Amino acid sequence: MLLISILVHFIFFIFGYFSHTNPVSMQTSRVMEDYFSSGLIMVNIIISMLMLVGWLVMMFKNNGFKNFYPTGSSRLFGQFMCYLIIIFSSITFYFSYMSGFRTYINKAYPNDLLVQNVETINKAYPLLPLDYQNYKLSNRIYPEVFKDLYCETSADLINYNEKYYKNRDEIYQFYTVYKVVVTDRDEYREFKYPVKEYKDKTPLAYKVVVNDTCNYYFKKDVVDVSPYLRTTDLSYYNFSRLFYKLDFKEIDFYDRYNNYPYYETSAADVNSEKNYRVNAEISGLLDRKNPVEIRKIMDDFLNVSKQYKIKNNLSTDLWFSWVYNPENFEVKHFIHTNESREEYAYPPEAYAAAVADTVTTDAAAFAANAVTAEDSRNTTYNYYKKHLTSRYYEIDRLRDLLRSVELIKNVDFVSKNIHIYIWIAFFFATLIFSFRVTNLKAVLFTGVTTGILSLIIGLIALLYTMSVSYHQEYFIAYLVLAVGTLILVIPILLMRMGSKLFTAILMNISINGFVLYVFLILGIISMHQNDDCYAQQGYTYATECTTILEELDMNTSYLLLAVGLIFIFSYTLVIKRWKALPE
Amino acid sequence: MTKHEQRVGEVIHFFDNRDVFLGFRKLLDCAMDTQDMPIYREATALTDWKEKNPDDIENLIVKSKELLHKISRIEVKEHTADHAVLKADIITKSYGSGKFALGPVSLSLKKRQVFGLVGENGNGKTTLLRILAREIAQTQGTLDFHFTHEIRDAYDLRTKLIYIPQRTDKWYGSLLDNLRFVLAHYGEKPDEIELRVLMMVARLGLWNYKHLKWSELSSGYKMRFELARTLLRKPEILLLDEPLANLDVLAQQIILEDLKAISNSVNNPIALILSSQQLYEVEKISDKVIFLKNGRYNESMQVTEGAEQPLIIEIDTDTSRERLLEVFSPFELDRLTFNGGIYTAYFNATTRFSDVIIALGTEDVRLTYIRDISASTRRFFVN
Repeated sequence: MLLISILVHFIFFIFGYFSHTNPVSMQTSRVMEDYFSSGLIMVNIIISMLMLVGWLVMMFKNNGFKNFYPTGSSRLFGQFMCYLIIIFSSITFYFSYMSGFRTYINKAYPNDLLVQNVETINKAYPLLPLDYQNYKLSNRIYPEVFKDLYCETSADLINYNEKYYKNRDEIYQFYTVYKVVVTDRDEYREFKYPVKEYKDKTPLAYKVVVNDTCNYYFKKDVVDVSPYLRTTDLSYYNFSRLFYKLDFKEIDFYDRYNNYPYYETSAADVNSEKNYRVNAEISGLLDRKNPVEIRKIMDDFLNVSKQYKIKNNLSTDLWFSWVYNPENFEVKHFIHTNESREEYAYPPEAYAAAVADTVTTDAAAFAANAVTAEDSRNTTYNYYKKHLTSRYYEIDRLRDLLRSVELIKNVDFVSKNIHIYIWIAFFFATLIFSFRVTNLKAVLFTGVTTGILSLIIGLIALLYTMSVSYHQEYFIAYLVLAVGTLILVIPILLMRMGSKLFTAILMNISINGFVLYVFLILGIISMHQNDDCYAQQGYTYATECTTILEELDMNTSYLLLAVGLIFIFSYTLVIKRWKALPE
Repeated sequence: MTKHEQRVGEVIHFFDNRDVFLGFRKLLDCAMDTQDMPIYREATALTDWKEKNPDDIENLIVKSKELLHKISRIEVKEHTADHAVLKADIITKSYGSGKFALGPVSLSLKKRQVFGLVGENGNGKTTLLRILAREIAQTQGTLDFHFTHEIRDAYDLRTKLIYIPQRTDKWYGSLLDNLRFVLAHYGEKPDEIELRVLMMVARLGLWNYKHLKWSELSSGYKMRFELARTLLRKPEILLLDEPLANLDVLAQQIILEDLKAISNSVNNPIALILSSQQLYEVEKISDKVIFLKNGRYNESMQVTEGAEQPLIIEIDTDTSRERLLEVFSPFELDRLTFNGGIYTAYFNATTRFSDVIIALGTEDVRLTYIRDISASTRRFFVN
């Protein structure tokens, strides 16, 4: 059986290896879920079921469930372990698939090539005018003088007595800032606001929260940066965003978003993503005004795009002609990020025009006029819209591809998913073990008894909730605990209390439910810990309440597995005693 | 002369008288007693040769005698313990008031003893056997077991009590594989497993069926297989429920003989209880017959040694009742009953069976069958 499962594991490895040979399949943020969304999970389930049924039939055919040979505790436990291992190996094809997948990714996207390609992409990205926001003056961080400056862009907060810059509807003013670090929190667990600045009404630039500290940045003086500026218009000189950074760390895909420092104030969002090196490099490149160099960067980028099958309709010549404005490198053309962007643009201009043409009601005329008025305003957005070309580059797909590759290379798919497989295998193994040590009748009656017991407990809980309803969660937890304890104790201490079948049912429930029983105990302890923590004197929102379950976290699973195995091993003595019992 | 040598001598005698069929089975018994692997090897090889050359009696006798001489030279340790393996004291089992109740039954069984358990259907034979095997609990009374090997706990005891139900378990796979599995499970030395299995197969007459699957065996051979399976476990006590049920008359005799011989082993004797409907056959090999009627086992019904017994005779004849009464007139006839097929004549204790036969012969009464059942439990059935 293990040999067969090794073979199937190998087949799934091959599946995994060839599953993403087309780079387009990597251009999604859900590459980790492909196994489940592609239907392979169904194949897995069907194969697992066939294998396990086949295995059970083989066990029957080989008298595997025949009883009553002298057998030691360790031998019984060994049989249980065999069941566990065989079932586990018959359901965990996901791991082989992922290993195959990773092997392919490591081969098709070797680290050194990936580093090189990301470098190429990062170099070309500033030249790819997908959006106008990134080319605003506020993005400037090079030369060094901009590094510690804060750029105020809100018209309401500009000090019009000092030097500021205006371009269409955009307004910029550069400030030096100073930092105030705060770690104290108020009763709502919010960081306290610095008292002095509050009193002085010092304007806040932005604040950054990193773990348990909050850095408030306050505006100090306005700086005149005119000597460093060529233009205040949208310019390639201003670009300072890094497109992609390779981590090569065992970092969870989802954690990557959570671990970023948390910024408040929208202006700060831009500030946080400014990358000095990017800005310095693009400035250097533009300053050199070397057409060959720029063309090469574009060529390389389009080659990598071709290699990764990123959809686009760019050509180096046209692109270069748009970018290369050697005077100030102002941005005069924009490209779409999506092939079919026009269709989804809102409001659709063609539609608005049609409305204006055909509908003569006042409301429609007003709407059409409003649209026209909006269009005619001298805003950067309108500038962008006017200069948007029919060319496109699906940049999000490139980002998704890089993320997917890096994710598959680094994600720890085993420890993330192993628990579910461990517990499926464990419960199935205990079930078969129950059948092996008792008999079909006892197992069936165990199912019936469990159902009836659950029903009774449910009804009692319902009655209690409707009548007394005082601490009902404790009542239910302790009720289940009491029933569980009774079920556990009778076969151990009072084996002769009932008939052999009765004891067998309790024994089977114990074998199958002991782990859940321990889990319940941990849950009850956690409930008490939480409540004690809330009840203690001086409790505030700042108080950390860590329960035993939170403390153990994922280790709970391994702990319970160990407890479960130890239990089964010791319980073999009870099983043997039960076996010897006359009817 | 040891008991072993004595037995070997008997077997040689069988071969001298050309009783090859019986002799060969006894030879295998002696061979098994040796527990000696080279002897096992030779005995199984000889069995194989015998099955391949069924007509070469002369050579078989020569080869068998050669082997017997070798067997006689092996020292066999005699099992001497003479205590009761099983002691049941006033066992009762009731299934609620007004329903069937068994007992009280008391019995004491030693190794080498064979007890027959007889009675009509529904009289508690199976219940008693299952109680003795501790499969079901008795309502009252005590059960004591005394084995050569120390019993550690209740589980250990259950594994040593071997009970074969009338309807045996279904087994999958070939007969040989299953037997090997038993020995492997019992921790037998790996290099001895094959020989021991073959030896048991040879002894129980399964040689030509050894490669068959369980489902391919006839029900008679399934019982033999079950016996082989249990005997490999070297039981000290064996409880058989209706082992003769599916066997033809000849096979019944053979298996009973075999059981008797196996239980009477020199170094590994077994205490045996078997239930059956085959009164004559069981009585023939049993040291004691337990007759159960309505769950009761009446000690007073048992034959007491030396005491005067009335003579009870079963007669199958087409002669009329009047004529029979006339023939029996010289004897003190208590009563004569007829059940439609067979007459049962009850005489007082002074009448001798031979006198009755002489009288019947003299009067030229045509007899199909006649039997003295004075000491047989048969008499309880005809009452």
